[in-house]
Amino acid sequence: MSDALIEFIKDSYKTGKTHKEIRSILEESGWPSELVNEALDQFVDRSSEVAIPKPIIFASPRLVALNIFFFLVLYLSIYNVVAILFTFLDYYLPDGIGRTRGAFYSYKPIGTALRGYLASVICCVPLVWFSNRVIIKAISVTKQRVPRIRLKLIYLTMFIGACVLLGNAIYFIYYFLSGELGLRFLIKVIILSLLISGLFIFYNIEIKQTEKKA
Amino acid sequence: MKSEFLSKLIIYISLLIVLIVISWAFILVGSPSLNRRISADRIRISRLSILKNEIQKYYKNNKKLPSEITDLKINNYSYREDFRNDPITKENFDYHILNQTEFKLCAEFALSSEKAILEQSRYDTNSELWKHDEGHYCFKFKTK
Repeated sequence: MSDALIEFIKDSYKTGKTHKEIRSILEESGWPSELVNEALDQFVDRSSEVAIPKPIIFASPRLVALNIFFFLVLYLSIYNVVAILFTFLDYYLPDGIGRTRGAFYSYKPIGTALRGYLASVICCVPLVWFSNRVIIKAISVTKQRVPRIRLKLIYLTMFIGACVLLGNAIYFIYYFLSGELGLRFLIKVIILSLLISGLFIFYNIEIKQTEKKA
Repeated sequence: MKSEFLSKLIIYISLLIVLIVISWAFILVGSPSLNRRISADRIRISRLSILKNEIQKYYKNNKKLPSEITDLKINNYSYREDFRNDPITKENFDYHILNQTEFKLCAEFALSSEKAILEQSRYDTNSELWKHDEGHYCFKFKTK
């Protein structure tokens, strides 16, 4: 929401203008009617010397809990899918020297590790889909804007992604300099980089759309 | 909308990857009944390993091999009563004296140890010693 627009509406109240008058002035000056309506919706439509703000319902605790849960199951799903992929690589491309194991190296037998990851993926992936649906429904029913917690968690996700990418790059160069750049490690680095890039692109789109609305 | 198409594309690609990963992992880990048989074989190996150690200990103390594996219990060397039995059939493992210092232990295995390769820890140094085929298989040991 533009601060300038809000300031203008507040100033207009002081001169005794009504919502209708303010709306027509703004729309004539080229403000999109959606933005004008959204801005005016924040104030009570009554002639008064000062702008009376409408009580705003902030993101309900339900949405906060749902979003935290959504990101929790999302993280678990991503971790376990990547772990399965890495276990596949450990199985199909055994490393002779056994030194460049990369991340997620499991000391457990491959079968035991895979069953654990598989169980988590089967539980978490449907929950990602389900909780996302519930969130979208809750947002559209309550007509709330994207709750602040969601934006915070998206940025947290991107922050973690950036850290993983950084660690990835450092490891890559370290192994390269040690002359241990095996095929398996290379594929692991590529998988992580693709995953993080996908996350970045996906959430960048959501953030941009949210900012456009705001 | 280009961006909406892109985010949908990302969702569908990730869904596809997740589905492939899940089915592939399912194929690799095998069915629950297969894993049950693998676990039974692992218990057999661990019991045979205890049995082998107990026989070797018996030989060290008595300067002769036990004539039956039930002797081990009488001499009170056992710390787990059932290590002489097959976990499923509950029958004693086959024990044969080959000569004064060599003996043979046999068991019925559900699967060849090659099929249980996924269940082996990468640090299991004993896996070579306990390689076995499917069905009746015997291991030869010395008293040392």
